[in-house]
Amino acid sequence: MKNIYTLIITGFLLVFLVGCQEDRDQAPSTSITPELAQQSEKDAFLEKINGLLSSSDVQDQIAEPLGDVHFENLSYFKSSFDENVTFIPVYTEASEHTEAIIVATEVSDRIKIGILVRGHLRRLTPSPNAENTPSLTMLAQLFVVLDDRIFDNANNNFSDIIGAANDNSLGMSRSFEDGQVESNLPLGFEPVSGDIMCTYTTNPNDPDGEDYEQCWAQYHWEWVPSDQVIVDWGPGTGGGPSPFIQVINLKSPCKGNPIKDPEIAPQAEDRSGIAGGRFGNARKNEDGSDKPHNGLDIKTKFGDSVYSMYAGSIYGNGTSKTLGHYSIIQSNINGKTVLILYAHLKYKPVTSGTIRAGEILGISGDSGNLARAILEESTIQHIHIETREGTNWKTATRKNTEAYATTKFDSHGKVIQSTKC
Amino acid sequence: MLDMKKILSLLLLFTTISIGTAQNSWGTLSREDYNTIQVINTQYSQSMRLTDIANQPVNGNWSQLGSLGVGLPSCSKELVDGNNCFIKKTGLEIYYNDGDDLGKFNMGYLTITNANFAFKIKGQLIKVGDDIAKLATVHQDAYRKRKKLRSQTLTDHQVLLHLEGTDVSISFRYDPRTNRITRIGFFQSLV
Repeated sequence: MKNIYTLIITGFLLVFLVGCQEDRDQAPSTSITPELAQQSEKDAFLEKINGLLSSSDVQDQIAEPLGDVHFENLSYFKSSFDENVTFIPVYTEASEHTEAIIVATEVSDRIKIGILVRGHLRRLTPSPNAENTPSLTMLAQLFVVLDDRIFDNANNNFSDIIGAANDNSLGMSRSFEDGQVESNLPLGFEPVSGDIMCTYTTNPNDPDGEDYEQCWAQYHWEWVPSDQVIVDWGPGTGGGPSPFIQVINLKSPCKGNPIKDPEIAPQAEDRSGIAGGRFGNARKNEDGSDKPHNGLDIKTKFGDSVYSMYAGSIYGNGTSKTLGHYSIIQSNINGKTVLILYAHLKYKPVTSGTIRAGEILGISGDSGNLARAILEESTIQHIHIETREGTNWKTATRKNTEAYATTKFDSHGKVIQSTKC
Repeated sequence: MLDMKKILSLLLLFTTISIGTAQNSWGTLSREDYNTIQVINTQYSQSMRLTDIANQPVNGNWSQLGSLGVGLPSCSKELVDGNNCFIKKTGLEIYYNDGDDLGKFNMGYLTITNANFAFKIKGQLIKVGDDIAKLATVHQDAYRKRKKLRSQTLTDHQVLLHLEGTDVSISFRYDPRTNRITRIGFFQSLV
């Protein structure tokens, strides 16, 4: 084995050295200055964003029906975390102000897109202990700047942009309970628990008066890395922003898959390995006996969006000791009532009612026993998906989730390419 | 183009080296050695074999846990988890689960966080606060592979053992600044 590696390494070194030699044989080339490299990175990033905005998904679902929608890529900067960032105002000719701002960020070659919706910034729940995070005022200022630039309209006031407190007109709720955030997504941001800081100071102009309190909120925006664009679209009734939200999943998975291009998450290699991530008895108990694994573990990245495999209704959401935050969707598939559970979510879903196939139902996390399983190197980041046929979770018949997944796996757990989706 | 070729070569080179040097960060614990592990209640000089603790209750009876001096567990039922049972003492927490409510429990974890309880493994008493180097005599390979927890937030390191032929982990976390053990644990994923 060692010889093979030596051979491979030698081979690469040779290629590298030949490359260097060819370099020397060549006429001196223009060196790439940091400025040029940065310009190139900026151009490549903006090209990707523009490609995304001109994709058929966006055009079909937003631009064409509404006719005069504009997306303008007006800004670019490097964030303090060295991410490429651009703000894209979204507006119509008639609106006379920026309806929304799409914020596109490139992190490790992944484009993450979120949206700030005019009149609803306050819904982007505040949060905690985070540095370098924009305040609501800063976010509102973005609208002011863009309105002024696009419409020569400086007649903004922040309260119109930020929106009313306790605004639930978008049909979603976010709340803080015991430091945990509950969210049913979709604004494109995921808040992390909030924090309001206050200082108490004696008013120097009124030493005998009561102390006055100065409070401010700290905000931390955590992107939903879902490649989704969510647009709140006006004009709605009464001339304000429409309560209608349109969700466009630019990279949503095929029907029957919980994420795009799913792969099985294995158990540790000296254990049940990839078989342990599948439905069956590959795992072993402490006494060496078979330990059933009733689900299918699908590899994810922490924070990835998790999509409902099928349309259905929310059977239940909850938090359990082992599965962590979970959601169970009841669907009718080929005439059978099927319950599909998605576990180890980052937040407890609060969604109720119905859900579409391919709609985001949660965010991949490490809740339940997954965090410890990862620390003790039993497995890797994943979502656990469990399927039962029947109408009652406790009594329904356990089924292999793979039977309901569009992407199929061979006996070694590898994706069958013809079913890749 | 040539620059690209160089970059590609280097990338492939680094990738190859990374793959070539990747190794497990745990040691394999034999069944024989595992069976020697005792959990010691240091306050009351009581003890019980870890494997016996893991295989409670016996015929639905938890009374054997009395020999560890921890009393009976408290249990509650949950929709998707089934029956969850906990023993919580200062410095010790044990979790059992019976997912199907059929009386067949599995021990999900046993965690020791202070010196009230300890592990005795291969005759060596190991407790929170001890120097992690004690593990070198218990399992040289696992000790050699000790490393930082794969965590963005936790700073502890650990010596990790995987029990052969099972999905059980035994971990000894320690503070790398002091080399003192901070937590001892048994764990197996139940889902």
